[in-house]
Amino acid sequence: MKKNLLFDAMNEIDEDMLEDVNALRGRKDAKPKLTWTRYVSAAACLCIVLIGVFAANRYELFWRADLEDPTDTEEIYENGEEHNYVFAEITTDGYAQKKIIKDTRVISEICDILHTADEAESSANKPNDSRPNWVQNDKDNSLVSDRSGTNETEKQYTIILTATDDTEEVYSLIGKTIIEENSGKNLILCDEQYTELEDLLTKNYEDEGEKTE
Amino acid sequence: MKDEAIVELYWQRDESAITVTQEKYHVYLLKIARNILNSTEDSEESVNDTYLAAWNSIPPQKPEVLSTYLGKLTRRISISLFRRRNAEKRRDGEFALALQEMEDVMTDFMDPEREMEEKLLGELLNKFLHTLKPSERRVFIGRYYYMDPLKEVAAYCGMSEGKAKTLLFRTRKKLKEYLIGEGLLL
Repeated sequence: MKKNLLFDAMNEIDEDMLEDVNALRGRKDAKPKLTWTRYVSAAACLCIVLIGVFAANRYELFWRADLEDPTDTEEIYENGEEHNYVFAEITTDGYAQKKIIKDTRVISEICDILHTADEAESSANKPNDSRPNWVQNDKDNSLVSDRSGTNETEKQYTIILTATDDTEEVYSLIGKTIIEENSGKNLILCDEQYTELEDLLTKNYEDEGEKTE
Repeated sequence: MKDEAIVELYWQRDESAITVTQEKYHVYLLKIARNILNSTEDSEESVNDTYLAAWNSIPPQKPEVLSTYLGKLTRRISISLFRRRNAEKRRDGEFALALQEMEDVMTDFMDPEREMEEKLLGELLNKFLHTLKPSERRVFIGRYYYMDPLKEVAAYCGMSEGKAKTLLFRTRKKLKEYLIGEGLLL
């Protein structure tokens, strides 16, 4: 009964309000308003999500980025100069592949050994020691150890350290002798240094690559 | 023919007024009736009764907007017919559904006389409807006055059916609170 009263009372609704609605009812082309807004909203949300994922990846908010572009650097001090090394490139002579070491801890250890070797060299260079002597090869201006060829199992390593300012330090390790390319400095490693360095270089090889000789 | 001219025919007691009214408003009135009665035969009967009611009431009435005036007549007649035909049982139809939806608005009521009740409630309804946003008002009137299906109401009000449904729910709730505030509901 009471509901009926409400419906009956609706007959008292002002005519202007009824007319307003009646005018709409006559529209044959009436359809829900602009569904494109839903698609635009969905597209905007998707863009925000993608931007968030991109930013998270770029700034490593939730996971570490790929180590292809290392951003960590190890600071090495040599002769009072600071160098930030980012790559160590190791080539084993006689093998086709070279390895890139980006692990800053390993690079730091390599640098430590290389750069303390001269200290060892200067303090331990005795005439009758077992270290090799170097003979100048006039043909290609290289230095050749007088013991080269005496130990066929020795590997020869070329170590290139690349710094963040794109400078490179190139070392060749032949036996226990390190030759620094630019300065031609011979550095003789003691047994302990040599063992440590070779361990580092070989440990970080995943495979030896194909032997070329 | 314009509404003023048709109303003038009624005032001149010219029987062509009914013919002209039928030509112009038959489909419109039939839709209102069908929304309530859900029966073609009953709807036709209701609309025919509307023409008679219009003839009997004009004059003295002089409606400015004939469509609205006739719509009210058809609505009232159709609701009465619905009640007569379906006193005890429910039937399909938008009016039955609309009644059901309004169950949560009207519960108890104080006891003035029926006509006064209707007028009073009508005034309050008008005041209430003026407090609503246009979209809310249109949906409410479309659904509960014209008894249009919700889908149609949503379409001509330019919104989704879900949104229209939510609007109606909130409006019914507001109406109930309004009527309680006015002392009409306990």
